[in-house]
Amino acid sequence: MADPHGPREGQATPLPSADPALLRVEGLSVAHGALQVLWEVDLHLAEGEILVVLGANGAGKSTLLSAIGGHLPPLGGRLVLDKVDITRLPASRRARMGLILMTEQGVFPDLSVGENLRLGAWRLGRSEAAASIEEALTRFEELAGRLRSPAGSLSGGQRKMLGLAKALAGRPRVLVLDEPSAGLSPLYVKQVVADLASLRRDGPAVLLAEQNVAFLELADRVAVLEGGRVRFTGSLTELRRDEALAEAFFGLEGRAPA
Amino acid sequence: MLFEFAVVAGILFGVYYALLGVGLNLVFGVLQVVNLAHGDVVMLGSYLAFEAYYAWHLNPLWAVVIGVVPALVAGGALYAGVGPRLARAADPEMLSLVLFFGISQIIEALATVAFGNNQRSVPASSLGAAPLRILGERYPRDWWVVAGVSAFVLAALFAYLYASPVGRATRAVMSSPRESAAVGIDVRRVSVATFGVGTFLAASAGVLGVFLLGGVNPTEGVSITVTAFAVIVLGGLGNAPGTVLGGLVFGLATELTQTYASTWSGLVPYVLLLVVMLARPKGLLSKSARVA
Ligand SMILES: Nc1ncnc2c1ncn2[C@@H]1O[C@H](COP(=O)(O)OP(=O)(O)OP(=O)(O)O)[C@@H](O)[C@H]1O
Ligand SMILES: [Mg+2]
Repeated sequence: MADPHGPREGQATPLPSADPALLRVEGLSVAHGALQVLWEVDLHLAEGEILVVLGANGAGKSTLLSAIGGHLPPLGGRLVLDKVDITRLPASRRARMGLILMTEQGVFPDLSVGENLRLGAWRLGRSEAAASIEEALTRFEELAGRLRSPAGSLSGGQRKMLGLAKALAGRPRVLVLDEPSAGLSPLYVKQVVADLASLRRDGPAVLLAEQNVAFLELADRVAVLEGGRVRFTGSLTELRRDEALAEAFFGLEGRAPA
Repeated sequence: MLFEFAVVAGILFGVYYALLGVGLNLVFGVLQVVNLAHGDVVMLGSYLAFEAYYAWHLNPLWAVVIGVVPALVAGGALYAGVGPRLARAADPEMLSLVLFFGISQIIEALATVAFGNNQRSVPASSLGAAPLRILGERYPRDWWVVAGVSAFVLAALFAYLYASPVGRATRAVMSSPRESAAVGIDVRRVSVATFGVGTFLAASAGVLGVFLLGGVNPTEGVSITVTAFAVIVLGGLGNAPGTVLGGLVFGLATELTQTYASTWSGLVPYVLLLVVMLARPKGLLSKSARVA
């Protein structure tokens, strides 16, 4: 299922650095107020890798991604980005380091499409920003014709597209996406999957939370969250071998409305 | 003739009211805080104009320029001081209301000590311009000079908001603080800058207000805050361009009532506030598309 031409085969060969993980989540516990939602979550993400986090509604996927992005302070545990401890850094610092979270909202609704892209490239210098916006507009041609429209006037699918384009405009090292398919028609889901697939070569490492199994074809590895704990991490093949889990997720696929 | 006069006067005053409200609205848009000390900073600006004219023998408009640095620094420093405390508060809205109310009272008390209780004014002749004739009517020189300077300050503000990186970041925070942090914008620094800019806008509205608001006294802050609040509710809370429309509507409404039913004119801000709150809670410019 994995792209045979992608750089994935190289994964088994050891990387020069001692710690191949670009992003490391160690024993992360997070609460919403008094309600603890995540218990000692351990995950890691290598350079260029795509990790898909699966989990039922309320499993804690959004909470995990929010905490990684710096929008929720953890109760305990550590976050390490490229050997730098970022646990106590504010969201804006993490973003400037290249850890970019596409939130569920994903865009500035009151600002124009063009301004959304420029703000997406906020962390870059002037000329690099111009180049990355150009690049985003080449990738997402539909947006080029609507640069002056307010993002709030786009359709749900176009808004997701803008959210992705805006996140990519910042040239992320780690791209964190929370349900990029939420609320999209199957056609748009295909497109978002294709957009992400086109990123693979020299692209950022991607951490993606989804319920839609269409995204699994992108995954180098899969993590399953259940009740705020990591129930499984491994390859897709390994996941399919785990009967209970396979039924939970691929069973859903069968029942999902077309 | 009466009608034309009221309309032109309404527009001239309206541009000024837009300036009076825009600082309050900018601060509200970024910080989600109604700065109850806004009117008191306006009052201080009026005293600055008074001092510039009588103590330093300058054209009082120089007070706008003189006020830039102190207002930016004092406003920025104040917010840099209290901002982190507000961010930690369990109920930041309530705490900030109390805080800015306190600051408002302190400014008023200090101004009374410094300037006394009397109403002070600066003659319109100090502006050194001639009255303006439009369609055969004469308009006092302070009216059009004030409207002109207000328009200039507003234009500078919009250039800042729409053409500078900090301004773009400011509008980003107004649209979504969380999304702003997610692209790497330091929301705290934008907030400090915004409070400085808002303080300057209030002070410059004060310099001009010594003419259009009929002088200055230390207790006028509260009623000015109410007027500014009415203007920004008309235009839409957190909507900076809307404030210009809000100011014009407010100016026209007050001038027309003053012309045709002057005894009622004091009620205008409150009635407009109520009507807009009930009919268009998001301001005159609001469209359902913005909310969806
Ligand atoms: N802002 C919040 N305040 C309080 N509790 C919250 C908040 N957000 C989420 N929760 C709780 O945290 C738990 C995990 O929620 P989370 O949104 O992380 O799940 P999720 O896996 O993203 O679900 P979904 O698939 O529905 O998006 C849920 O029990 C939810 O009720
Ligand atoms: Mg979620």
